[in-house]
Amino acid sequence: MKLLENASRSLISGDAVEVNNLIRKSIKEELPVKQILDEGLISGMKVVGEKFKNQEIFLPEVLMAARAMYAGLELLQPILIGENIPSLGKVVLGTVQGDMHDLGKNLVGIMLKGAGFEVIDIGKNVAPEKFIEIAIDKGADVIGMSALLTTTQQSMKPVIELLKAKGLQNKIKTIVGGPPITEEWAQDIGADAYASDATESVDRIKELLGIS
Amino acid sequence: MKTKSSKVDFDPGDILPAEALFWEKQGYTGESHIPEKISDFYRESLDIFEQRCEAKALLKSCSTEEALLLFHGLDRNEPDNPIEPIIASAGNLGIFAATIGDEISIRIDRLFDNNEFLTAFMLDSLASMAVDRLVVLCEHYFQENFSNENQNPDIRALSYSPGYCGWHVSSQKMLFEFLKPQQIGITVNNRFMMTPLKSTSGIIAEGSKEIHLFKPVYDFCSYCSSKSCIMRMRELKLN
Repeated sequence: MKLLENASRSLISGDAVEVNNLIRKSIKEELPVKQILDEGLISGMKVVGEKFKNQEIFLPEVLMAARAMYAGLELLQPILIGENIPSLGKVVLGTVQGDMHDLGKNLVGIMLKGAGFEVIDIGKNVAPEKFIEIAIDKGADVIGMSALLTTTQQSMKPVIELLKAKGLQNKIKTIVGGPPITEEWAQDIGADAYASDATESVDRIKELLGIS
Repeated sequence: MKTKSSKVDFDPGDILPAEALFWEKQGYTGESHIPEKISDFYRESLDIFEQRCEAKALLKSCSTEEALLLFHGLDRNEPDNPIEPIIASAGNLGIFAATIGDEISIRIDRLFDNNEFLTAFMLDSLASMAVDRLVVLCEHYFQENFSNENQNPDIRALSYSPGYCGWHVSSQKMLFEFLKPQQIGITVNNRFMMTPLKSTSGIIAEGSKEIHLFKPVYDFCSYCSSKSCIMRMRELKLN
């Protein structure tokens, strides 16, 4: 479908106005909304993610593409909800207790939405109980925790312990990230996954949920 | 010793990072091509920064005993750390806090909420780099105005902050009680985080270049993502 190919191409080049126009046209032509989402937007973000991984482009270009994606997504979202089309999964995302830095968390949220996940962003300085409470309430598949400081990364463990205490560790997966976080640290505290950047978080969460 | 204290305002232009350095931080090094559209977003974030930045600092001199008391804070530091010997051997010490104000952080949040990710991200990067530069200007100000050694090329004033290099962030509590940076709009919460977010605080230690040199091989160094001490010590050795 030429229209969707063009939307995907415009997204890759970060042209938000053109993506918005093409998605509007696709809706008007009554193309299936899931097809518009997958072929017009998500496919473009996939290419952008790959280019970033291969260091062909840098984060500013990824964000310019994400901005273009959202210009199309905002048109699709009401239809997706109306037609009850499920997302790839629900992710509750927050910066851990004591930490007010949310740039990393925001970037992860942008990339996850771009990949087709539903993101429930619960903000910064989030208490462990709140992570669990909202994850249960919203039926989340994954809890994502972010921390900028070595002093606040300690707040990740209580979330995982609380999840285990409630017997939910097999139902709700956990992923951690942030500058001081390492793979070893993630394993030590019992997290299910670790991601070193926003694009990697998409791959790790897909792995956790068995999405190819 | 008579305590000296200064409130200083800085021009936003003086704390802006060099453009090349900014791009380098984003990954665009050497031959990398920066797309024109990306440059437009950079200029937009630069305009916002210049309009909204309110850079100020508060500096106060202190004795070695006072500095060590603040450093030990609530006794939660790593037992083996490089800062304590630096404080003990410094000839002149001060406490500082600095901020670029709250307006930029509010604007960053709003830009993210409005899906203007790139402008938000670039403004955040600019602001973080500007705070780093603000710290350097505070060090220079201290050496020029709180010292008798400002002409001596072998003497250097460098800053150290709670939350880094084994200095536990809980020391913020005593540091704030001593300095009272609320007067320039910086507060600290019960988890020792500062508001505005783009703020910094710490001790400035002035002494011979050698006192600032250490090997970054402490346990906590393996968790440190910035490794800025290495660059700083390299510059110290070169200049």
